[in-house]
Amino acid sequence: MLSKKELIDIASRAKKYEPEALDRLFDFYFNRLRRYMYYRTGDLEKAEDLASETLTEAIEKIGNFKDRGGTIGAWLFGIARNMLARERAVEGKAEIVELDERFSTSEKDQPETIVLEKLSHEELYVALSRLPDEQREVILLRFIEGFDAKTVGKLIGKKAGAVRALQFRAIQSLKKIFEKGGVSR
Amino acid sequence: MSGDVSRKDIRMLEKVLKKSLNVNSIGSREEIPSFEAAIVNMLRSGGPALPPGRRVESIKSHYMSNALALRNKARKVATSQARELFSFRAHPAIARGLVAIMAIVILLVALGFGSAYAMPGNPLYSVKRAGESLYISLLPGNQRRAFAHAEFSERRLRELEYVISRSMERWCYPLIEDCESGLERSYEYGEKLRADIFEKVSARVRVIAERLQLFINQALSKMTKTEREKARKIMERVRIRLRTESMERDRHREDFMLKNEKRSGHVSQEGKTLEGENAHEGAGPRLNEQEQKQQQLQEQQQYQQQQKGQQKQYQEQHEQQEHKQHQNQQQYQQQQQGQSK
Repeated sequence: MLSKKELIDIASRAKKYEPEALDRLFDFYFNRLRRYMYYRTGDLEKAEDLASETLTEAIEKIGNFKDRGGTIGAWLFGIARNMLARERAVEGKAEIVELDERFSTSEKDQPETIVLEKLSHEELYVALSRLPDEQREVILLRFIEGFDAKTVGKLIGKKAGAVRALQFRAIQSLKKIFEKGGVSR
Repeated sequence: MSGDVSRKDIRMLEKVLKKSLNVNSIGSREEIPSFEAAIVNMLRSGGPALPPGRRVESIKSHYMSNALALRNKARKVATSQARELFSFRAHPAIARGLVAIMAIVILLVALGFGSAYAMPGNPLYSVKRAGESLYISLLPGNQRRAFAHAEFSERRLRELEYVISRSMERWCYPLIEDCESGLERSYEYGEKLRADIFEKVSARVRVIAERLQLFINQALSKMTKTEREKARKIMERVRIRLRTESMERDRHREDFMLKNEKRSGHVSQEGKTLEGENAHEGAGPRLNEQEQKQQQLQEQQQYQQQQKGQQKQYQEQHEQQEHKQHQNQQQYQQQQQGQSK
């Protein structure tokens, strides 16, 4: 993990297109953006493309970026969200994930903790796709990407309290999904 | 013994155990206190690891080449923006205004430099004179004005020398007149100054006046009759000025000293020391000083009277000499006329 000071430094140098800073920016954020895109689309190839496009767009717009104390991560995920929205608009359909035959019922006898340990990325994606869009967004940004409630609120256009409420409901929903054990392959 | 432990006790024990283990029910599937916490922990660790990306390296090289291209583009844009900032196309009104101001400044500077050495007859000479009068009107203080007038009178002398050498008759008298008026003004401003500064001014004026006399003598033959008469009157005034200049200087010094004393309150209107009236101690020596000053004043008045007498004598002698010269000239002319007849 990079510290806040390092993030500020990278952002300021990236604005001047210093290769070393751009390299570090890619190394730190590419996989995170790819993971986010995957849990939103469920397609690894597409996630890779979208993460790449996000970073390319970011360096094109980095001249307009105003750092408010290590906020480059939030800025990048904002670009990622917009890119995803554009992608969906182009495709002309909402993201609908259905449990197909690939994801069979789990071994119901096992305790939930063991279920969680054995969970694959595909299963997590299926579980997340069962959540409403806002809840899924909050889970991804708040827990997987580690942004605080205020930053997530800014990204999704809600207040921090509303983000916490969404997060609580999302966790409750995930609990029910895992308790039912219907996500494992 | 079994009768000792009642059902009530067993329930109590179960409650205590539940509380200490923080579980809902002993032996149930839910051994972890909060399943939600486990979910959160799993999510916070980033969830299940994704398989490594296949195209990460190629994506990175593409991203870096894009970034470098953007950097070059940004540099070009910055350079062109800097050029635009100073270009006439971007700000035509400002550019026009700046060009106009620059042109005016250049013109004024060029006129200033060009006219500084302009001599009578040169088209820039009037610019030079206008610049001089503007300069004097903008000067603060009598001292600066006194010296500036003296400086410009010296310039008129140089110009007079120039016009005499080139036989530019029509310029002679105006320059003499300007030089004299400059000297008068220099003297007027000098009289308002301190005695030591006035001495400097009057010394400079004296030098210029002596030179002016010489130039007037040289220029007399190149003037018209009326101009000649006026020039003679100017020369007379200059002579008187030179004779009386030393007396004026002494008078000015005296006036200045008296003014200073009055200001500092040492001398009352009756000539008695104010401090001497109020304070008895030290009255003797102050009265002696006053007597000395009175004596000095008397001596100076006597000297001034003598000077005035001498001045009158000089004037009379000069008039007699001029009269004799005039008579001699007339005799010479009559003789020549007789010879020619």
